[in-house]
Amino acid sequence: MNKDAIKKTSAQAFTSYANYSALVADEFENSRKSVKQMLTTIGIGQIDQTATGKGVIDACRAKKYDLILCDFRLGTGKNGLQVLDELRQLDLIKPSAFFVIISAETSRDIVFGILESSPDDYLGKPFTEGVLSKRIERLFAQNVELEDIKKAISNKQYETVVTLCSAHIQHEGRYSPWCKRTLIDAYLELKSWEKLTELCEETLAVRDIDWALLGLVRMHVVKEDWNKAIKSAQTLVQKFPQCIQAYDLLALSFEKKGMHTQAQEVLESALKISPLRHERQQKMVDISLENGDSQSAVKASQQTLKLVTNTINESPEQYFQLAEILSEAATELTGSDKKRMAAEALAALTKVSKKYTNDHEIRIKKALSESRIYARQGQTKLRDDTLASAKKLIEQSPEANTIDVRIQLGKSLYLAGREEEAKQEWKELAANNTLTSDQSKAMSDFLDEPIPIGARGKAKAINGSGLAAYAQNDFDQAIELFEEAIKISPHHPGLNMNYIQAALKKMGKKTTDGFLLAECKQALTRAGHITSTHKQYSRYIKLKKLISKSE
Amino acid sequence: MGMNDVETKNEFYHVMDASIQDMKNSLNLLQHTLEKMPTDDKGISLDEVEAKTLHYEVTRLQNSTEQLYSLYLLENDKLSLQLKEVYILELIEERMISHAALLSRFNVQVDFDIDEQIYVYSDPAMLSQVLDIALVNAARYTNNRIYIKVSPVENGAIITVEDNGQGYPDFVLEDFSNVINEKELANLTNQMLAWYFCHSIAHMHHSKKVKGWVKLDNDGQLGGSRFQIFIP
Repeated sequence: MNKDAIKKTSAQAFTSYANYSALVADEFENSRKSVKQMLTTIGIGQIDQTATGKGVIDACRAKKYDLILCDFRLGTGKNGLQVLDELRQLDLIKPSAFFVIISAETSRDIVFGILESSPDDYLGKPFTEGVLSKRIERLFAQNVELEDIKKAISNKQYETVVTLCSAHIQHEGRYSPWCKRTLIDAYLELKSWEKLTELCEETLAVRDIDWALLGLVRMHVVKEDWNKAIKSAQTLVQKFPQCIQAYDLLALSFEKKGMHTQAQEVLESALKISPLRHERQQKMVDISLENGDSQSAVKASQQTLKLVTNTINESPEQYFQLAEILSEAATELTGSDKKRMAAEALAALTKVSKKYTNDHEIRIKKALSESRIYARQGQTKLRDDTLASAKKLIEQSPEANTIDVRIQLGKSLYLAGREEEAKQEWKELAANNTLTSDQSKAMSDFLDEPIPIGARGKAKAINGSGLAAYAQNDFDQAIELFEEAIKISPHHPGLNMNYIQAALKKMGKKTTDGFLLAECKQALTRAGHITSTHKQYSRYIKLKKLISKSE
Repeated sequence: MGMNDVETKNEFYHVMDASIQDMKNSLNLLQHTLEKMPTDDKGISLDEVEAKTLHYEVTRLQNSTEQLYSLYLLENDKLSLQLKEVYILELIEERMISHAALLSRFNVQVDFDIDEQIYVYSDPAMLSQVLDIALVNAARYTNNRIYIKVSPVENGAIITVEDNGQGYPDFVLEDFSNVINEKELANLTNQMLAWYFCHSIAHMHHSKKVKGWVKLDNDGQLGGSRFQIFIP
């Protein structure tokens, strides 16, 4: 074997790693020892080791390593990817350090998960000491070459990034492809659309390549040009079915266009390829709720919780979300399935209260959520008991009576049949506090449709048919369908206003129909809860004027 | 893969069949070699043939395991091909380091001449598997030399692995052309499955309607077999 050839052509060789420190994480002692032995032979000065994800986080808090070799599997706690995400979120790795994932897994879920967390390198098992040594040598060599650019990126100096990357490409440097991808990131930050387009199109003229196509999609998304974003993302997905970011951006673009069904379909495809990102699962929860698809919401909500458990991204809200979704989904079931799902909802609440034992706010929210679960099951005594105990808890700890708690209280009161009390609670809340848009939306969404997810989905589907009939000028059919939907979701402003519009069309300009007009007025009353911040408010006022003119 | 479940199962049955047979053969040889070794505590010494057998069969088992799993993923449309720029020299260097001991045990001299700037858009793990298959096969059948060359061509690059052995027998070349044209996996040897795997991986690479390919022939400069893979 010609060893000279390797020496001659290999990347910049380093003389000594004596000043470097490394951390080895693997659940198996033998593997840790073996990797540590390899690193010692390579000449790394300091080598620490740990068996768990928590161990990695703790070690990185105590010391800034140059190299972290972390196996994907780390026992029952966090896995390697969760560790990497957490280290980044907590800013525990220095920009020049390398995080290398080691794994024997080649299944698509995990490979995609690893790819999406973008570690600095990925080493498949089994590997030899020679290969490890070579990889480390290259990583450090790359660092020397790209150090200034990486520094500029972490300092958000994107003009400098552009200058340095362009120079590297001009000199046909070895890392030109990396620099081109980095240029796209920088152009996006600087909103240099012409340059970005030029770079991508120039690259695409030579060959099909995912990152260049993706660059254009990302640009359309940032510019909020949703039609172009959809078109370019569809092309990208078709040419590179494994480009996962394309699915996310396509789903986002559909969502922004109000095409929620399509958005859900795209997310489903994305989750089939790469299910291990909690952000994507949470997105699926949101879209499923929007579409009234309770089954999908349950599944995605369970997955979200599973993926964040014991990580920095775990929060009580994910448990409350799951409990609420399970309890709403249970209303669509019958018999033992219904009981089982409601029991699961209660179990999620037990879990969260055990996790955060001393938190008063969580104890209150738990009781409020329980009350709603019982309400949906028709267990009025338990409903009222838990609601009363929630109120008592609020009295005992007034400091825990946060805006979120008061929003939850309103919902529980409403479902306990105390609708006016609920509205009053929220009116006072809105009058005396500055609410975030999410908080306002939570209340107005609830008042629009205080019904379970599945029922919302049904009403939405019928509304869709009604709109189609309306578009065909078949106003009788449209009125009938809107009425049907209103029976399921009586307070939905959009539905009631669709009904009014169809009725007005039917009546035409000349004749007035006393009966229909009275129905329209009732529709206005049903949606009467809407306030000036509601997105349908101006439409509501317009229709109200039209109706009073018709009298 | 546009196959229904029944067909997929049948296809994979053939893959399993050939792979497991081959792995059992390797295990059998390993077992025999190990059984011939002394069991007392005077230390174990291997003769040259035994050492070669052990090393070669372990390497083949390793390749077979990877290949079996990858073919399974491929059949079920679950194989992920993560394209990024792969510097071919880096990849070859890694493969050489991985197989250095085996190559030296077989007294095989490997020469290569690769511009360090040449890269292709590929999945390094998959391309490594392909090169492992080509290298280990060449190591087994060469006389004593292997030559690796990378030629940049329009729309991509061709990696060539050739040796100075007897070359592929005619039936191998014939079977290979059948398997890539008809994709009929019944009654194939595990090595033929390996070539089929290489071809499938190559075929998954595409740019502007150009697809990757694998070629087997005996037309190399060293007079033995020649393996070529084109990555667009």
